[in-house]
Amino acid sequence: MRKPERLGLIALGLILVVVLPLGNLLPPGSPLHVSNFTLNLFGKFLTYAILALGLDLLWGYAGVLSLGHGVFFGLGAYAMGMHLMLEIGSKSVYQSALPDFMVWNQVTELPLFWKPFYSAPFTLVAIVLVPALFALVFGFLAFRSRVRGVYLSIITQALALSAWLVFNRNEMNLGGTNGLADFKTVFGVPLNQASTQRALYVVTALTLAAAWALCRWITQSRAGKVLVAVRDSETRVLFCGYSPANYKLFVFVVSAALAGVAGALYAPQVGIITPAKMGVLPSIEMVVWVAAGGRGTLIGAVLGAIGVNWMQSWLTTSYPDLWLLFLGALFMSVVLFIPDGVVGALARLAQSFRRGRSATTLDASPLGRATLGASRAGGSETP
Amino acid sequence: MSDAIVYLEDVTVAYDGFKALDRLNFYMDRRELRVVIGPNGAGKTTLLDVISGRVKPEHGRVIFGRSTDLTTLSENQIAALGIGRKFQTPSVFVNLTVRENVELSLRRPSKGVLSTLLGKDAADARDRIEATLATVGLGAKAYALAGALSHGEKQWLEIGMVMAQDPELLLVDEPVAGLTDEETARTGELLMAIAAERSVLVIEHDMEFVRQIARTVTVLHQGAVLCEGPREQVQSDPRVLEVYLGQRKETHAVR
Repeated sequence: MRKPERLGLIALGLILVVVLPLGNLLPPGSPLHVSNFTLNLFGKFLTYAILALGLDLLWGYAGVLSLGHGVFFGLGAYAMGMHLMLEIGSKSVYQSALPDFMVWNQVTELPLFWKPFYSAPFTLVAIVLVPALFALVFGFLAFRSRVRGVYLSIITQALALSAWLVFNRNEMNLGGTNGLADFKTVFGVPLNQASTQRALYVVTALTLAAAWALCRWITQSRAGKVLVAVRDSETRVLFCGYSPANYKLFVFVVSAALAGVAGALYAPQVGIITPAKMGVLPSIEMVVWVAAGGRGTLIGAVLGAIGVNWMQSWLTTSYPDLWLLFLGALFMSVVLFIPDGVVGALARLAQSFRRGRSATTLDASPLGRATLGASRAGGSETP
Repeated sequence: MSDAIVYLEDVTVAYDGFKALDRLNFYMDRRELRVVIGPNGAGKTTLLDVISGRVKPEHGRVIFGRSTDLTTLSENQIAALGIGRKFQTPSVFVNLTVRENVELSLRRPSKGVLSTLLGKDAADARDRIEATLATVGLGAKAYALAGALSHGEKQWLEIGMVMAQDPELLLVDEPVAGLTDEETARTGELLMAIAAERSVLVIEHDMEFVRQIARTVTVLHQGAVLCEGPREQVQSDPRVLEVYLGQRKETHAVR
């Protein structure tokens, strides 16, 4: 990593982990004050960034485009949401030990699969394991049968659609269309206090940092190179003695687990999780974040998730009609003009600047490495 | 015959009724450099596909070494056994450096996800990478992206990658297609150097190149062996001439 990149990364980390929560502690009159609303908003963006990191690992490195990551996000969010629902206990509207929607649906006894979620440790394990195991089974079947490229994207999209349909059903005992909401406490701490939200934010920011470190470690290892190799030529990987299916399954599971953790952090901060969060549309939006930020860079995924959503929250309040038009325009212009995203475009710019400067002083290196963008566009599957 | 590296017995491969290989019998000795020629559609590439596990025959046995049956194994398992394959169009990892391309190809005890994730390169692995790059003449471009190499350099890189796998048997599909005369000559020398220590099976159209490297030639025709023997003998065999001359498209290749 080059020095300016490293400095930028450290600055970004400090702003997200330290400066924002500290700003929230300042009195409201201070110019550097960060309101509870803004901090909470960024908490949500950072959960998206965690998911985007996993998606980048899968798409940007291994070249597997999943259009169904909303499902894994939803599984994590629902697992957390179920625990939060049970924490409410009889403080609910109907004052029953059962969640309100069950009383409404005339369910008299807590369904068996809800019971383990009384336990906080179980919930913490479930938010990782439920999406990971689901991805393991789904990915195993898909990658073993050598479903790849656009066909894999299509079946993940079908997965998102079917998950959305299933979670919308009241018979699932997961709240149907309305999902899970009205959470009161998280692990015994009231959710409506600013300090709780601040703590949740800090946990989210630290989780994001850990997720980045994990993804970075994977991409820097030899396995990370195998992932890039899988994107370049799966056949050659196979004839080098590696099983591309196993490597793809590995990143698919890691990215699903990250999506699950992201969902679990999302639920208490936003206060609601509904099937609308796991359908086809949100899953595609997630891909747009990564594409806009720059895939195959990790940091691009983080910046894309924060940037696009920041813009969304600004546009939907100031110009509510424009948001979807903007999202479409954004995706099209990324595809047409900067296929390697904002970070990729900046890297190219910096490189041509460096080359231009070195050309005036020294001779430009005759063996300059091909630019990120040009080489990425040249990836092809042979034979 | 006693020391065969690979042995195909009665192998049939059919695509939608068309028999790409028709009860083919074929064997190769250890440390042999064999060239397989034949008109288009004779089943040359299918022969490599069957040995490397890409295509499963519907009938017959493919034995590697003493008794390993390859028909039940997947491509990566076969590669791990020591069979390397070089494709017709250069197939390298364009977004990795030349050195990383070789690094990934090195023969290792395990190529599973976990050991690859945790593994660090020992000094001897680095030596092997350097040696391979020197052999194929790409030492100076070790840190260039493979995508930036010329067509000929990509071919050599791929040969280097297959060599790094340290295979007992090397399968090479038309290595000189699209190369200049000079590059062709160099590729020939490279393959002959490799064949000093291993078995190499080459498929080739270019008769000039075949003359440069071939000792024993096998002619495939319609999925079966038409004839086999020393190059001079095969070239004057009337059946071979008929097969090639009957196909005007191929005549220029035989010359």
